[in-house]
Amino acid sequence: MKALFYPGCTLKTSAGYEESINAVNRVLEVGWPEVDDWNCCGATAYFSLDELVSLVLPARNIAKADRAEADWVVTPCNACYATLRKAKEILAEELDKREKVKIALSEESLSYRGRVKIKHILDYYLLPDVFERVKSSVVKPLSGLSVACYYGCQYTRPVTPDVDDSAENPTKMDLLMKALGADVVDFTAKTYCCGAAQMVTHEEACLRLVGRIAADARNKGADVIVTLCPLCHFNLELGESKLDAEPVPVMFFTQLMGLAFGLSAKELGLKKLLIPADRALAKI
Amino acid sequence: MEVKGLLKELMEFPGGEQILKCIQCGTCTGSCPMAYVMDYGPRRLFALAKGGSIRKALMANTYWICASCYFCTVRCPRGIRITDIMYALKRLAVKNGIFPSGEKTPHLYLAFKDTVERYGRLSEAKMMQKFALKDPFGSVKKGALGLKLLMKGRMELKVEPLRNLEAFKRVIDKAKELERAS
Ligand code: SF4
Ligand code: SF4
Repeated sequence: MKALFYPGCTLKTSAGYEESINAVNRVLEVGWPEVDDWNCCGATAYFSLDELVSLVLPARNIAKADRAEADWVVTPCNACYATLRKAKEILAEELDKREKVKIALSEESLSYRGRVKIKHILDYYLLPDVFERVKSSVVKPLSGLSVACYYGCQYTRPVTPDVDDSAENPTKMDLLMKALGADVVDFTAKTYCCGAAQMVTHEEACLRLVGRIAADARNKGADVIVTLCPLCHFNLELGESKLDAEPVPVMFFTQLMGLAFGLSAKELGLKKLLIPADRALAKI
Repeated sequence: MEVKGLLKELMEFPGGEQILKCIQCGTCTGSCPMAYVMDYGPRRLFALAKGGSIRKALMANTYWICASCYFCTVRCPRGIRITDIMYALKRLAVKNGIFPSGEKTPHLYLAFKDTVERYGRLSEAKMMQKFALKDPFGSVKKGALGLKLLMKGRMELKVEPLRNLEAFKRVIDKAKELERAS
């Protein structure tokens, strides 16, 4: 099974997500070459402005992966993940649009077939053989640490054929965290919305959403909120920093994998977090 | 006449005709995390649009405030792809220049689009510079955060454009040409 990596535009500036992905992949001895010369997926902005371009942007990346004979494109970002698979679904259903997308892509001698599966990197780590390796790589179990697994919206919504978890009650990250030895709290807010891009233009409204998510984590006794998306992570950290309540640290799931694999805080980019996690992590 | 024209245009978007199936149950609004700051929740918005008051619907902040959480879409008992209709309304609004004047989200999206079409990728710093022209006050507040992120190594000031930017631009231009022709 050949997987190619679609990092998305926000991975570079996220708090240690990129570092921790690279570090855990080295331990697991897995690697995903990047989709060649990938472009921005267009996110929610393009669906709002120009429909055909909103389909061509993801389709160009999928076509490039297809040309490289990939079976999967894996991405660490919920928004990229949703955009790529949503475009794929529309192109499967609406043949007139698919024709136009093909014409546009032929400008770069690319062709679109819709054969490649779009997956979140979390799905990759849960593949049976990879998951076995994850379990056997745990040298410092996270026992004593309570985590709230926050999936956000677009890991499972909209529901498209590539989604492999429940729309409102996903459990894959819970499974992974349990395998690392952490206690997983029953987190009602696991797929509540963080406000996404509205944080820029409607900050007050989004702060209340973040407040609800953080309060649920705190009330359930979570030491850390675990995320799988750079945008969710940014909104939760930033939002919590602006709210009055004692903030619950927010980390990427790959950072916790790294800790359980015995990697150092430096290798996992932990100092980039705005809300320090040291006190929570001392419980391990 | 014009009112009719806009509704017709909305119907022509894929899924746009679905609003006719709406039974006004309110599941969408009850599930919507942003409804509390919307002029109307999705249910009332669809009632307005169906009733022919599409201009009034476009002048509401509802569809701009939609955060694309898709809760309404997975729960609607009529299987209406509500979030996609919100997108269709945004396109209709920008195309016809009918949207609430104080709404900043369209300007943010246009700044996003501009950055992506220039470099092939998004640079948050470049996008926020563009958006700042439309939102000078908000940007002053965000400046302090930007500095903090910069110090944490979480802000990239330069963009690395695509290697094959020319080919990328040809593809995008072709798509725009096809969109205009349709
Ligand atoms: S949930 Fe569906 S049927 Fe019910 S009011 Fe909303 S759009 Fe209409
Ligand atoms: S997708 Fe938009 S309209 Fe639907 S529930 Fe979420 S924020 Fe509300």
